[in-house]
Amino acid sequence: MNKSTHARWLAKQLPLWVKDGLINDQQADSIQQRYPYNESLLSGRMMINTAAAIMVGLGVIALFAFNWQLMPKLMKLAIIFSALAGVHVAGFKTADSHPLLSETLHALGTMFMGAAIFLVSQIYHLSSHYPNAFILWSAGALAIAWAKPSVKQAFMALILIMTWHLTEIFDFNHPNSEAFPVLIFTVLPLVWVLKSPVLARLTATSLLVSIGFSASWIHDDMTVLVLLLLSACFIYYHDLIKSLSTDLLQHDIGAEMAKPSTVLFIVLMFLFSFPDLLDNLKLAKIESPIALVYLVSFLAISQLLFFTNAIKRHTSAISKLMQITILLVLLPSIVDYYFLPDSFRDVSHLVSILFNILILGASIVLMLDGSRNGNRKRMINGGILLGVLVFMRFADLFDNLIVRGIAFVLTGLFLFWVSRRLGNHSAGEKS
Amino acid sequence: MSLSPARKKLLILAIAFQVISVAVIALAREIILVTGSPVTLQTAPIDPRDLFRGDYVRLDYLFNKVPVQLLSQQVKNEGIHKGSVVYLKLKQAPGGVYHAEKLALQKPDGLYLKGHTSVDWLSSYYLKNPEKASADEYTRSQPLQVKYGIERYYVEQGKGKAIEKRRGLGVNRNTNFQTPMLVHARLSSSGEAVISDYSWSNLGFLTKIAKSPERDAPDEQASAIMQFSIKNLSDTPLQIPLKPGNCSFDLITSGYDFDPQKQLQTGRDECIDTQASLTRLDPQQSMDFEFNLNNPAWIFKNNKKMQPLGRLPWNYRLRIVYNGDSFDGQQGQIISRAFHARGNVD
Repeated sequence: MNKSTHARWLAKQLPLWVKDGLINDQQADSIQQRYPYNESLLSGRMMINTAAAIMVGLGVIALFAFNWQLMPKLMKLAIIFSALAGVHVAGFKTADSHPLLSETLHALGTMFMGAAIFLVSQIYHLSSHYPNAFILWSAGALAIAWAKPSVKQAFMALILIMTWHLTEIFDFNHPNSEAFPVLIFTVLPLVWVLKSPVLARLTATSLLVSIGFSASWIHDDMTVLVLLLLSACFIYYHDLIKSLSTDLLQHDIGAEMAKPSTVLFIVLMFLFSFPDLLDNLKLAKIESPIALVYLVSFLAISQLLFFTNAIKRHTSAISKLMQITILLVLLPSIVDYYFLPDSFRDVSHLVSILFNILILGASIVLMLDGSRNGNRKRMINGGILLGVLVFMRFADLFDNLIVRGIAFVLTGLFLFWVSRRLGNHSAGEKS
Repeated sequence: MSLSPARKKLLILAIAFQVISVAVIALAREIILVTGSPVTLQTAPIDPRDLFRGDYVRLDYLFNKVPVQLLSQQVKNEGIHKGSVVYLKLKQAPGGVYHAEKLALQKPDGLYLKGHTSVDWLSSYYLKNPEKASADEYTRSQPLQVKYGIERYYVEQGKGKAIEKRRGLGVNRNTNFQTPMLVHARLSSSGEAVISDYSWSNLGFLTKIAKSPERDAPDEQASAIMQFSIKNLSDTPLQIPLKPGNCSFDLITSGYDFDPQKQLQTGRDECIDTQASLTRLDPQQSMDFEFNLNNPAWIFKNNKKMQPLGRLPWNYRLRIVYNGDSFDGQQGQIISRAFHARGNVD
């Protein structure tokens, strides 16, 4: 159970505890303030209402897309604009008395805004750059997300901005490097305003996807480096917020933002265990100014966060591993190009071997630590890491079948040991 | 949780933004429709479907591919990046439709369309080094692709196919006449166009190969004999001024850069001093014209070497176009589909 789930459980328990006389009102309030639970997070009912609003909105878009020839232009415009304004006014009127209904009506209104954009384009036969429709639509959703503030509208804005970004990239081969700052300045602050861990995770994922695709279009070889440094920013931020804040919700937000980066980091570690990828990382070859701006910014922010955490002595194991990775990737790409003579340039193999050792070490540490502390999740993750590493190296590292056989037997025996520890731990829990 | 008065004000502003931002788009187009200059443009459409907006006919104008000879000297010298704003000066041709006259980076006088280039014209190396731009020979043989924001006409779902068929698409193009679609639009003073309506030309055209050249034919028989037919689709007879010997028609290039005036031998000796006489074309009646492209008059000077049209590379497409005087009731340009002289119709 994560912290927000605990907080939700606690919020439901507190009135019962007061009723049973276990605590008084004042104590209940103090506990509530210490472990706040924001009801505007996605509840089941809210999810269904959002889905309903989106379905109705899409239905209206499809109905207008039929393009009724018998219906005069002015009537079509009057209907869609009345619907757009009408549901928003109804949402406004019910904001105090029926907040959930009000949220749903505003979500429907934003869907109608999309319908209105496409209807106007249809009526006037507009064929200009269609991703512009999505960015305008997202601006409408953002306006309400900030005004209310509203989680639903923030989600809609996030989806629309990403639709704009991906259509620019895939339909128009445009790197659209503007999408990243749009997300940073318009959606990311909403994560803290709305205190929504779910929005935090989705926004962090969108930022990684956005910069990843832009980078691959601007300068393919820099993609990995940009993703690594941005992931470092999220992971180091999580450490920082844990040391700075006592608010569990803030911890949750930091954790959710770090999750996609952690997954990506593990994938990158495996990629770095291949020398080919490292061969292409030559900083001096990056000519694009925008690519360099992003790289330098992410590097500066990540290092600022890391050393702030280091001074406060609040650096997690994954942050340390991340920092070693950054050094291992960055240093050779600089040194390799500028200082080594041609015949000594091939340091990529050495670095890739170091990454193999790092993954091996990380998997063993995870399993041993998990085993020692009875943390089943850590043990399983460590086992998966080790298994994937051995399978990857099976094909390309051990040419000698005897060495390959021994490596697999040893790994298998080690995993048996982990399994046995897991079994013992389960038995201990039951007894 | 109730909203504070400040939040309520912000919410009202946000709602107003949603309504007004879309209304402004509609209003701007409505103003152009009321106050803009009317123009008629001739198209060749196809019919895909838009996920959000339903059926539409894709309108493909001849000036979506601007031939190099119509580009301004600045564009030719320096090249142009994808997405750049360009201005296409229009001129009215016989039949009332508007054609491309010149494409430039600056607003011209008179009527013009504002567009955006769809591709880089000149490769990225030459765009960064304009002093060497003349060396990019490949791109220099390509037309500049431009979009003007009037490339779609939305119709009720299911109606797009009927328009497509009437245009001669999705049917046997060797037996069915193609009816040009005439798009009526209004142009704002800034070159922005809004489509108001469309109509059909009263003339239908059929372009086909009358005789393909034999394989391994000698140079003098390497080109096809093309047949171009015109049909009167209206209810009234038309009187078309025609010169003998097909002298009322020219061969023009279809987008790709070779300057017809310099490279295509169009001055046919037999056409000097020929006079046009009115030829009656009754309703539903058609006339056929045969063009033997082996005629020595149709010689192409490729790299200063005389070449038969049938020996040109495959991207060198041609069209037959009526060059005679306009006549009463003419609607749109009389022009064939693009073809290659070896015997291949687009």
